[in-house]
Amino acid sequence: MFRLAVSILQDLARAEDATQDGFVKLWQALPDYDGRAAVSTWLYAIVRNTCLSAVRAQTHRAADCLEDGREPSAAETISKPAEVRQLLDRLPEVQRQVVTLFYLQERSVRDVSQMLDLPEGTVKSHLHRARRTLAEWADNQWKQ
Amino acid sequence: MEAMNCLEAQEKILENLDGALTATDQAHLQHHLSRCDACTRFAEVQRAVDHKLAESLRPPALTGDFGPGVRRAIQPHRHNAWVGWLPDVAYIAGAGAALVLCAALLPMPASALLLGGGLIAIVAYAVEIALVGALEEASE
Repeated sequence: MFRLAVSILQDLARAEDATQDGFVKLWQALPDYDGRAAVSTWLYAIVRNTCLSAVRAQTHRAADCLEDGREPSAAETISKPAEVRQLLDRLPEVQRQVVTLFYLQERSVRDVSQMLDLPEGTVKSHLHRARRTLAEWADNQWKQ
Repeated sequence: MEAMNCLEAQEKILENLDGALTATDQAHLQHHLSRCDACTRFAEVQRAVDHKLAESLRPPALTGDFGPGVRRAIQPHRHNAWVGWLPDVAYIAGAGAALVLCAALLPMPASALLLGGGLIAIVAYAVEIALVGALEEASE
């Protein structure tokens, strides 16, 4: 759950908060669990929704800061070198999530597929498109 | 050996990084790479990017505050689970106490009648709960 939150939010502190919220929501919603879906599917959906709410809230805060002329506060981002962060920042949101989760989940396409609720083929397709973009950009950088 | 074009070879190079390439595909790919500089370069860059990502994206650990934080957050909600049951529990306890008191105070035939009536009420209540449960389940 925490890794899924990290892949979506790209920020350890916020991911931990979202995971915590996810557990609390799970606890509250437990009486409504009807057993039709696997618990893991249900859990991942709760974390995804919690993270998306956090992303929306963050977007609103950033917009408010810009309107007020203030700088948004620097969040504690996932501890990766600037080069890799630069690489990942070039990708569309869903590709960044897939790539991050793929490596955090020790290269399991199946795990990524379950956690993001995407078919395995779609995960592979996002992964391949992301790899092509990243390699093209990295190759240009390394040539310079 | 069946020849592979560059487009297919590059797709196989990407699949190889996902860890999903069969031995036959591996052999076809190696054969293509031995004759194609562009795909060899593509494979090298892909491996370098893959290595960089794998090195940088390591599973993060939760802080020590996480577990106690979840327990603290869940604690107030524990009481909520009882709220739905409280009216039933209060009803049964109150009715039971009234029944025992009346049976103790009334003369023998009246108290037997009262106990009989009380038992019928309890059975009817249990049947009602079972019926409501079955109907709710059926409506879902």
